[in-house]
Amino acid sequence: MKGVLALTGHYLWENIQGGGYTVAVLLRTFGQLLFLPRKWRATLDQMYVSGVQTLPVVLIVAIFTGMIVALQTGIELMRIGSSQSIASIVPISMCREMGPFITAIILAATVGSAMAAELGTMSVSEEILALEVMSIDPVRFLVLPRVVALAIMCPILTAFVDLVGTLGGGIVGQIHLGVDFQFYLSQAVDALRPPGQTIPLPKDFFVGLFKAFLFGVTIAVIGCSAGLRAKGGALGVGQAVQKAVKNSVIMIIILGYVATWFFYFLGGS
Amino acid sequence: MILLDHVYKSFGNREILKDMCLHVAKGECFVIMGRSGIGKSVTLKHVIGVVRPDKGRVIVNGIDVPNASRKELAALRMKIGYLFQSGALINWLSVFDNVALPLREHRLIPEEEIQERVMERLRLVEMEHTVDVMPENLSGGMKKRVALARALVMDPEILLYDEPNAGLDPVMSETINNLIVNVQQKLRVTSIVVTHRLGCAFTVGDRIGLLDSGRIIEEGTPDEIRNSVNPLVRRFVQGVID
Repeated sequence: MKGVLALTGHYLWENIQGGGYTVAVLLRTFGQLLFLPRKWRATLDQMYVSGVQTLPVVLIVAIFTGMIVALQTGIELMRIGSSQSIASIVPISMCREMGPFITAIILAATVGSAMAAELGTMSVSEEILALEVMSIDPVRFLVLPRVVALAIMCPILTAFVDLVGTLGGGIVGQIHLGVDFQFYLSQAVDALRPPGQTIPLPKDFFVGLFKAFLFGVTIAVIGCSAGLRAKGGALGVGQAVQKAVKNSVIMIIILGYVATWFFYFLGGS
Repeated sequence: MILLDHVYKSFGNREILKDMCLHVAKGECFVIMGRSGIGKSVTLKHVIGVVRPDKGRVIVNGIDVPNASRKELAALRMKIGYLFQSGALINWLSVFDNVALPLREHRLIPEEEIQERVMERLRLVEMEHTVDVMPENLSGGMKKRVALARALVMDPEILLYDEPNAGLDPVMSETINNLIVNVQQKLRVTSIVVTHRLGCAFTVGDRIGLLDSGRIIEEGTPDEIRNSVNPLVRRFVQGVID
């Protein structure tokens, strides 16, 4: 019993420490934003790694997600004779939740884990210590470009996911549900357009992008802080990667809920 | 110049430094010798301020390192070059960019001067032919030489060497020893060399201290250490067990 309590206490203490460190890294990153112009090259490199290189996998997942949403809801809607409603359901669900969520999960698994592995390897091979000894702030040198890159690229990738996922839904509608593609597209635009406005400035789309921005910052900060805290060789790097992905997914879900509650419940739909 | 005054340091229940006292004068090369895992690297990390003592004072260039502000510590570290055991080169930067890194990050001199300074330091360690090579393509000895060039590029007043010969063959070991002596003679820096290699200690050291049981148990010139009657020193230096 004592052993279980001690282990639980140790686990909780480790997580509190890790959480505190991650918040400290986030605040220090904000504090370094003034130095961003000096880090533009490194930021562009990171944008290429986190955005351009991830685009193919994100698009493949996006099109199939849109197709799955259309198919699942479409089958049920066909029974009550309103399968054309997928033209509203798919774009709204893609923009509100699925787009930012799917993009963030993919980025957490690919880019966030890579950041933890890269910085973790640097930690265990004393490269981070070498930076500190040279009076080079590791947060400015390593974390700032990664956080800014992901904060920019996550919303951009999400916009692609929203678009491609919506198109995927239209393809399924045309092939399996008898919904004309042209009709689907015009309905999709109407569904996203705020009532009474001619220019489509869809709240669902922009709220989704804002969520994606939050997710991007979260994934990068968690990945980098897990890497910076890595200790003990290859095993430590492995654990850092595991923690980065696990904590990122948890935070994506929590932040997703909070943002939805804030914009649609507190702020009214 | 460098003073460790009755320093104590433990990690968990393990006592690493116990009443450690050390004084290194300006321009001197002091060698801390001792078995692996005895606390030699921890001593160096106290000097640079990445490890804080549990008790005792660490004074470097007149600055109380454990109680220094972030700004003071950053300024002090700019005057210290540190050669890591593994080299600790940034693996995604070329040799040139690694050596230029502190100069570029601190923006102390224009890029043209950076080019000159980096090449000069690379020539000093005879690595000027590797400017575009990535660290993964360098041998252990080459990495150490590039790391030494990086440690020297800021014109440090103090140089700290953490096991400069670790993992090197005897020929490369000798090359590194000669390089340390060469740097010492040309730049007149204050140095602390941490090693368990006798050849290195006797070649580069003005004074040598043997670390055991958490403190320097004997110190003196290379000849004094060679001829010491202290059984612990004799055992380490001559392999004699009384």
